[in-house]
Amino acid sequence: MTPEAVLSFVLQTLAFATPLLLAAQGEVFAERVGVINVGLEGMLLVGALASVWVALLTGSPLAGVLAAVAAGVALAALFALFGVALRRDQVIVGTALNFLALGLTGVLFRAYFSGRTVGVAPTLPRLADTDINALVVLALLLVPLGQWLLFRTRLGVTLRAAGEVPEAAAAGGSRVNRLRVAWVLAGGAFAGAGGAALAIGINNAFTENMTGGRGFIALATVVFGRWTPVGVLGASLLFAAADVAQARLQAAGLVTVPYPVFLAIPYVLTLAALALRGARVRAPAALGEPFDQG
Amino acid sequence: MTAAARRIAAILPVLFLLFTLNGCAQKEAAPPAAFRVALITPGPITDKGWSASAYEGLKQIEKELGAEVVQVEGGGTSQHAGTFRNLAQQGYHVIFGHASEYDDPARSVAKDFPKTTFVIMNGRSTAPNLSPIQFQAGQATYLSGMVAAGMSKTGKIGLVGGPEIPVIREAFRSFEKGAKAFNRDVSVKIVFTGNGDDAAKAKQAAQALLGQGADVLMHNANAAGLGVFQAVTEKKDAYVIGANADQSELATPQNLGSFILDVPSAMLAVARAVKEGKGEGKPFAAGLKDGAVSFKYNPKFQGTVPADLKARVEQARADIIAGTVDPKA
Repeated sequence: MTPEAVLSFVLQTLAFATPLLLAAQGEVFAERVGVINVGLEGMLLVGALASVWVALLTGSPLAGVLAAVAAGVALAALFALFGVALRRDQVIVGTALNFLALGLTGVLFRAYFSGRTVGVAPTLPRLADTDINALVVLALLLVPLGQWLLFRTRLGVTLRAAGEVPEAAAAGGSRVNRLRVAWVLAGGAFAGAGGAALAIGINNAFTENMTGGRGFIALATVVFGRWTPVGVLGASLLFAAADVAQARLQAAGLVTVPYPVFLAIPYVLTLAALALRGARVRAPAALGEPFDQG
Repeated sequence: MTAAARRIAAILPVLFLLFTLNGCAQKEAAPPAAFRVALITPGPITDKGWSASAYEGLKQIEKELGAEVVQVEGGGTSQHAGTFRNLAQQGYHVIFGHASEYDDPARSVAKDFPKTTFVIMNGRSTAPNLSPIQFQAGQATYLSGMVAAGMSKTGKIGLVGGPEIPVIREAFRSFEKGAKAFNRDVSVKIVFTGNGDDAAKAKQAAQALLGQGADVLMHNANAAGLGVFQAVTEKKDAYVIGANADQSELATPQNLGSFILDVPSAMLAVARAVKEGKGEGKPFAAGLKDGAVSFKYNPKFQGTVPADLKARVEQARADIIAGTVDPKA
């Protein structure tokens, strides 16, 4: 491989890892505080539609990103209402939200975009002829920040306590459910931004169900990354690199294995990580368990 | 089709069924005098694509053949057979099922309603009153391949597919055959993404092909194909060819043209044959000859397609129609 080919491989991997990284980063915090948000896919999707819609209306990709964040937070608020406040089964609430998002974005997209000519949406400014944009840089910068916040600050301790032993955290004065709602909303913001990174960062248009399962891969990324921001960075880059590599191998005519094998890589690696690392990979003890503050 | 829309759509045939079930003793109503045609689409007819093209075909049948027409949006898989049965009981002469997934339910219902002709888009099964419309997409992609080979400067061409299904594979094989017929040394590489919605993945695939030196790309990845046009837009010396419909407005100056499946004309031809009593229960091959598939140059292409290339494409078209060239690989 030439140096240019290596460079373009690295840059493309970074760009395509970003939607995954953003969604997974938010999920690390949500899961650390004790909430499993299976609705990431839906939050990515509403973010994607909102970013394209608003970027088209205003001509500003930045406004598109803000709209995506707002859309992600709005869907996360629904999740928080049912999953945290009303203490329903979080997995079921998240799954329902994914279907809601899929249907809602489809209906809105058709209502707005049918019967009119739609140009391409304005995209985030990019570095030269790569797909590197501000969201890619932001996602990378958030990794050390998140790592520091989670493991080096009082807030991080409180947050993790709420996900491990919520009773103790509550006895220590924490408002456990308030913390959970806050971090679920933050996770929604991150996932919404991830949708924007996909729709107006990499692409310049919305297509129905364009997230293609990235929300679920993000969930796997959190497990494979062992619930740490740095681990999630490594896992997202690995999964994205595998994907970019398989497209290039196919393009070079070098692939003899069927491509679906590559599509399974993130899940296989995640299962392997769970199997091999055993007890060292442990989810927060109270993950997915509703808490009654009393 | 989205889950919520599917769910709403699913209610309709169920209601239909409830209303008709009371009088349902598997007795076929005597067909009324007028020629009646029904269409079942897998999605809403406002999609500006697959289902919209079938609705357009239905409207043409109404106009050209003076038929009485109805369109129904099909629900979930479990309702398909019921929808067919219900329409057949109402005495429709022709029922179009606009998706290959309707093949099985139509086959199971068709034997109970010999007076109704069932027509399944890209279906496989045949019976005396069941005939699929099989688009010979390969006849058009063969021509696309010639154009791509003729316009490539690097001698490398790339194809981006969504899910690796037989229909797409065959279309790509014919493309490659056409490209090699024009220039034996041209290389054709294919990347499948496994997903017809994921535009980012299609873009990534297109970038991988462009990175290997390909300078003409074609897609067959439904909505995800948008990612291919975008990748081409970002590489100024590359060209692109559209799929299934006239996609000239995408990546316009770099767009050479599109291969087109003309769903309305195929439907009209079948309905006419049935009306004239010529429905034969065999696959209806919709090809270049019927104008049901074609290659259309983009009038707004930035460069010029050389006249001798166009002449060779036109010759190949005539040869395929005459049967002297077989686009199937």
